[in-house]
Amino acid sequence: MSVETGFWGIAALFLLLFLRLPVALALICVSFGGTAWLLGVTPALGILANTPYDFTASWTMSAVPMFLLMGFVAFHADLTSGLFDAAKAVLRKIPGALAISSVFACSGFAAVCGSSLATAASMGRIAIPEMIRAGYAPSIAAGAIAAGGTIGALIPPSILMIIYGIFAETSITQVFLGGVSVGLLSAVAYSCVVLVLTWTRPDLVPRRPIEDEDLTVRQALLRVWPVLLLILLVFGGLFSGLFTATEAGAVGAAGAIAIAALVRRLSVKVMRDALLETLTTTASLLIIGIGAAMFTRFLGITGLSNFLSSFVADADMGYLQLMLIIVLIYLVLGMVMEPFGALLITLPVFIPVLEAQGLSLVWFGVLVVKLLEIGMITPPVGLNVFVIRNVAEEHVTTLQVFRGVTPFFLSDLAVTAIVVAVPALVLWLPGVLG
Amino acid sequence: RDLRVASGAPPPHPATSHLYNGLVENLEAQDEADLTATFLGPEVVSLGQMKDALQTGLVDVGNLLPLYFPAELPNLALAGELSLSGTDPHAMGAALTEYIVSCEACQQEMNDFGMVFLGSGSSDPYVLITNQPVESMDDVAGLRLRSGGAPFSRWAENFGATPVAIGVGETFEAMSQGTIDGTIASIGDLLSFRLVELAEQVTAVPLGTYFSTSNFTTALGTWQDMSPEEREVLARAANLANANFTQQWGYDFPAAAEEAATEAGITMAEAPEDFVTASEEFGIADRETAAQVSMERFGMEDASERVEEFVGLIDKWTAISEELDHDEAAMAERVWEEVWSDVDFSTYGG
Amino acid sequence: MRALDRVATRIAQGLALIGSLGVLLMLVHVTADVAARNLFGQPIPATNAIVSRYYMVLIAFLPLGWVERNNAMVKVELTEYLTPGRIGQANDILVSLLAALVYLAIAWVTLGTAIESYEVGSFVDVLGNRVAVWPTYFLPPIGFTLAALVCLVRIPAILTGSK
Ligand code: NA
Ligand code: NA
Repeated sequence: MSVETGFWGIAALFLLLFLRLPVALALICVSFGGTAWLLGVTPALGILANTPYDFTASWTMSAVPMFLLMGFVAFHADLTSGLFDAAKAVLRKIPGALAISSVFACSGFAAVCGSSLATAASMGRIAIPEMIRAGYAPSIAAGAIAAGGTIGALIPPSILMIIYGIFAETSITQVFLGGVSVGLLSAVAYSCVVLVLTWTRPDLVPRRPIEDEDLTVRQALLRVWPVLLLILLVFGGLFSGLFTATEAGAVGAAGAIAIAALVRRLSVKVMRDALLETLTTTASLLIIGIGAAMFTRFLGITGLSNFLSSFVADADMGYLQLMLIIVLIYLVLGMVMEPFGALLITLPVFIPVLEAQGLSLVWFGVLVVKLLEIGMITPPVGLNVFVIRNVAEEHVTTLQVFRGVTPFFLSDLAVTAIVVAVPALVLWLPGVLG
Repeated sequence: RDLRVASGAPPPHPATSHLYNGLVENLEAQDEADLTATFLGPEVVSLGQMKDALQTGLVDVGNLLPLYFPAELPNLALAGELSLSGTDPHAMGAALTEYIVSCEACQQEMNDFGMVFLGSGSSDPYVLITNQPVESMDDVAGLRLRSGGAPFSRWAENFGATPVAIGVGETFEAMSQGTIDGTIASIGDLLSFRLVELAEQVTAVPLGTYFSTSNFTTALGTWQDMSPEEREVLARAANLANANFTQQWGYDFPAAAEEAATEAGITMAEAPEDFVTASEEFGIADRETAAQVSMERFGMEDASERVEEFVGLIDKWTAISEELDHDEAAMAERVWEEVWSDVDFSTYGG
Repeated sequence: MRALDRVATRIAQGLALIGSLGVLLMLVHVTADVAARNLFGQPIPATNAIVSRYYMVLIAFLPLGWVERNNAMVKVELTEYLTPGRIGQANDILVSLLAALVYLAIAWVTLGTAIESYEVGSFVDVLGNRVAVWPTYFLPPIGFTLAALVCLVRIPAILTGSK
């Protein structure tokens, strides 16, 4: 079976990353070499020739630069610092207040944004500098937002859940509803991590609550209205049907520019910085996306699906054993694959097994999205980590973000265990409202 | 010989579940030639990548969507422009298969594209799926409807609706948020794209079928490597799978979707008579537009004659499908007799 | 070499400028489409096709040289502290060469695709509107070539240790 070639490919990927080749190029090299080894040079050249354009020329993908622009304009026009002033004022008595309010800000943003990348990028640009200024270790500040961003795909709307619903022929609405509780549970778990860190590692997370004596809650709330207006615009427009989630980024960016002009903080410099940053971040992410798409195609050619099905084919397998295998498979695939590819490769294998075991496909959808999102923060290919590294370049290295993400990754494992142990937690809301 | 084959579609779609799984099984079941197939999923080759995959030898046999390549495949594009003329799914698949196999220009354009044609299939008659009641012709006016192709857009515009071009995967979201009021689609989309959760009404109006397909497009290099016997074995397996696919896509899956719709409380409505007549008349008048489009856009000089010839084939195969009671196996057999048995597999496809 | 470096930088800046314009145009176009649809019930035709086939391709590929120039290509700096001195220098040169090679290879094969699209005059048909798409197939080869150039002109700087 040529799946061995896949393992060699993954080993080669690690080697190239170790040599500090850009992630995108490492993925492209390995996919090209592996495909050429399996099928010959001509098909490999074909994949190399059409994947870049094919992956990029996508309407759905256009949400990424637009949401990034919204975040960058809001940051450079200083619209967002009010949000944190408000959070500081409200939560000033709680240890780790800034990180916790960042996590919940991510959850709020998640309700308007369907992608975890865009959530991480927008919130990262805003929150990380604030946290570092307040004495947080840069790695933890960045890690909190890289992990917090994953909530973007758990709380609806969620592009991943829509794709899952279509592939698994399952109610998207039900999966959405199931995602709400797991999204919130993740936010609570991340907050617990922050609290624990304030106790155990005050060098990373300042224990002392913020003392911003000169700002009352009332004053802070007065400063926060521009951001609230922006959230209202995007949220209101989305839910009243004025525009789709893909269009919401563009409308949000336009809204951010308009609000910045309204409060007289729009300048040529703000626009220039925001546009250039959007451009750099988008381009460096898209080329990684291209590499990841090529890598997925390569792993597909190796016959990975058949290989995976050999793990779960045992009919007598108990629930916990099956779940353990599935979780492990997603954790391993999530290390090197992007979520869409991993979803496409695994669902045809797992869905029949789950159906045979009589397990809920709604519950499984939420679990799978959670597991795929964990892959966004695990090394070596962790897209959320990369986007954070990009927006907080002057503060952290990629390695530091990976390090900072570790405690949040552990809490993700705990959340996964809860989802596996108590499916009712996921199915409760769909049962009541669906 | 093991062929790498790809449908470009997700597992539940009939193009995978019946068309390509069917091909793999049909090849396994035969013992005239040592020919098997290995399936590659959409994560390896998507519909948009099919052309390059075929031209570079990544796949040997693939499900090519001709509508993506109107400049290169004008005859298949012409068939796409004639969507509104489709009624009987089995008849449409057979008609297009006979049209492409027997027309020299069609064979030439496939050959120039580096591919070999092995038959078509068709969807069920499209319907209006809306999030509001449509009781009369006037109710359609002002609706924003997703359209998957130019003929459906012309239809929408004719009845005062606004056609919207969004990806089929985006329909759910757009409809749930009211960005569109509905879609012109197969009733199967209720299940394939989960519209069953949102739709209020399904209205049957004569809207044509989707049949501009080339189900088992074979890479020319692969074809040239094959012996005439192997080619015939592949064509037979393809022919059976084509009929089976149309049976699923055009009949069985829509029936299941209808059942699910009723269960979900969606109103299943027949359009009033004046609407049906107006729609039929528009479909016939639209043939002229199709010819004109093919002439202007695809540079097809004899477009009118081509349209006439194709319409003749539709009539022929509609009668046959009636006669055979739309039976899948009988249709496959008849297509083989009428179309493929005349083909010389040592020269077909170039 | 110094002159070549300046030229590469200038081109990279120029292309990044065009890319920024693409971001702005995408914003205006999509917002205008949303507004037109909601205010006049009439969307701007072929918005999806233009956004995906023009602006997205523009944004993705033109800035590649600029991104390389700013060292903003994402790497996993696992070995940051492990390879000081000469070994690190040799590694940097190796990586730059390999990167340039990969970029050139992609530029070359995507140029082939671009020429093919140009020759058939590729277009997409959006509800009866014909949108030519062949021009944007030339953007990937342009972006990748420049990225390769930037990687190559950086090598002397690594050698002299000025980086
Ligand atoms: Na979300
Ligand atoms: Na990962």
